[in-house]
Amino acid sequence: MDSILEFFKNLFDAKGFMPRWVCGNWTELHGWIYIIANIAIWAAYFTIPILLYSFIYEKKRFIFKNVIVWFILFIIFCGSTHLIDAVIFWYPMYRFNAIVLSVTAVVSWGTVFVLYKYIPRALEYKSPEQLQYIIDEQTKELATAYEKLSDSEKQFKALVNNNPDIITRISKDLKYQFINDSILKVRNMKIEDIVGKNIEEVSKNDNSPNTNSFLTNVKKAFESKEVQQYEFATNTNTLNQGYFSMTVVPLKDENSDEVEDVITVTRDITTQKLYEIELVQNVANLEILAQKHENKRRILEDFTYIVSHNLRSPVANLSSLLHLIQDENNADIRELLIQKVFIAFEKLSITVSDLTTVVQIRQNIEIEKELLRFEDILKDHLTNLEMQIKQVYAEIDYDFSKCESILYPKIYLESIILNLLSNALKYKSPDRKPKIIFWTEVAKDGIFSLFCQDNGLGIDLKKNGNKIFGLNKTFHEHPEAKGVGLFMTRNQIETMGGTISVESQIDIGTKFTIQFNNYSDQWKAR
Amino acid sequence: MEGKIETVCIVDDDDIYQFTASMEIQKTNLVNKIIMFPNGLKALDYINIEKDNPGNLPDVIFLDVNMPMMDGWDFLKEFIIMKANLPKSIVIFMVSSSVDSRDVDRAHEISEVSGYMVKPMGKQRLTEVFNTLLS
Repeated sequence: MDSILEFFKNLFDAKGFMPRWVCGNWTELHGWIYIIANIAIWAAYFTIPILLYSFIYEKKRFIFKNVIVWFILFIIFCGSTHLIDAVIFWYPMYRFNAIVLSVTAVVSWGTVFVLYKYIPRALEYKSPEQLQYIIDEQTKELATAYEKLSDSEKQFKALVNNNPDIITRISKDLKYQFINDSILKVRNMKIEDIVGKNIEEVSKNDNSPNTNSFLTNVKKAFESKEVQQYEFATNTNTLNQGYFSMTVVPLKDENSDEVEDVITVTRDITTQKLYEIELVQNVANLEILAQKHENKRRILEDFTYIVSHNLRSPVANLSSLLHLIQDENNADIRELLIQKVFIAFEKLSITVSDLTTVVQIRQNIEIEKELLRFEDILKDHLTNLEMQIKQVYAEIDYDFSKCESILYPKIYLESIILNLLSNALKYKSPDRKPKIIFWTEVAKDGIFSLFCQDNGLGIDLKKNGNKIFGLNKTFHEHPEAKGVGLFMTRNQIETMGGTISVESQIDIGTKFTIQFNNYSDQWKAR
Repeated sequence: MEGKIETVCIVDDDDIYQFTASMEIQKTNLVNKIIMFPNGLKALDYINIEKDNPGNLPDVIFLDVNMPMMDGWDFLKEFIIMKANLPKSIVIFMVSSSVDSRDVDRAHEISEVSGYMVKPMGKQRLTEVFNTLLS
């Protein structure tokens, strides 16, 4: 223990040793070579750590930093032994040298250990050539991949741009992120003027009336996260009236389930739509044709019925009368029979003349129409029938405010209103003061209707519904009931393309409804 | 009955037909009495009133198909209901100027209808009908 203390106390002391110059047989040359070589080694060994330090200082992320630090220490200590070796020529500090050597030994072994530990990792490290090779290889692969990617992008673009549908992508802030070239076929616009812009901004230049529904559907797709679909018509570069179907598809983010973008697909359906319209038109035409056919069939049926009943009946009477005259010897009775022949003939004449009138009505589709006010025509009749109306204390009301006038043949409208009015007066109830009301209405589709309602006897429609508008059909035992009026009225209305129908309850009243047909003209006429 | 039909009833709204038919029936000399009604309702009312006086009820009815108020078909409906309460059977012929087969078929479907006659009936045809009924 004392010797250790002694050792360290005299660490820098040279006592007991002789400078190297005087220890041994040194020539001047030999000594100086020794000294200079040692100092040169020390200088070099001192410079290397500085360079190494500057290297690891620069390469901050260098993973062998530890090894280098150990190396720096190792070299510094090795250098120090050489310096001391040179100093010893003059000052023999062997004690200090022993310590430096010992520390050098420890540091050297430390370095060995660290190196040993790092060699496997160092082995994994590639040489610059190897790295270069790898980089080259990877660059090549990257280039191929890029080429493939750009090919597929080109393909995708070609696909999207050659798709006849107009495809866009719109972000949440309602800005166009993408639009394909198909827009150019329908609008004189530039892609650059659309992409990145807001829908409203783009539509302002477009002047499209469909912008509102487009905006509404796009917003709805964002909100509801559901596909929106609708059709619209617009003019295009080439078409006056093009028809399109619009599909707005929301694109959901996989993680948040929020709609970040929508894809819109606008498809030109003009051809299909025109076919559809044509088809609908054709069906409508067919229906009109079928209706006309049905009308003709009914007219034919009417006339068959008329021939079977209205004509055969007076002819049968005449035949009977003539046979009776032939067999009759009594002059008075013969005279009576001849009188009856005249009456029967008169009836036949009236029937034939009625039929002639109806045939004329049926053939005269092109009869001249004029703009007529319902009120004027009804008022004329009210004046003419004043006595009759006063006699029965009839109360007659009207309201033509919904539709005041109509383009119609004058004699027909006069005859229709007169028939309705005189029927209502004729078949009044004996128990009530007659109340008759006329009014007009316009249906949603523009069809004009005339109504006439009374509080009269009423007709049992279950029994007589199909006969009410037939010739010589009467349902009341009434001296004036001839049954020509409604038959004529129906023929006039139907010839002009309208319909007449009746609702009635016995002892409550009757309501006639007339629907006029050529409403579009009348709209204009109004 | 002395080889004659007691009462024949004509139900028809056509007054000329009423006149000619009654003359033709008279000329057959096979009928004692003719009564006439302008429609089914009047005829039905009469039968109703006279249903306990078989002497006043008709033996044969010539019923017109087309009439106002109550036509031949409606008369038949009511008559069929009433028939069971009547003291004697009444023969009914439907009469019409119509040669419409639908009317003819309909008449044949009703068992109470003995026949369908097309106007004009004529003296000869009436004589045949009455003779058949009398025999």
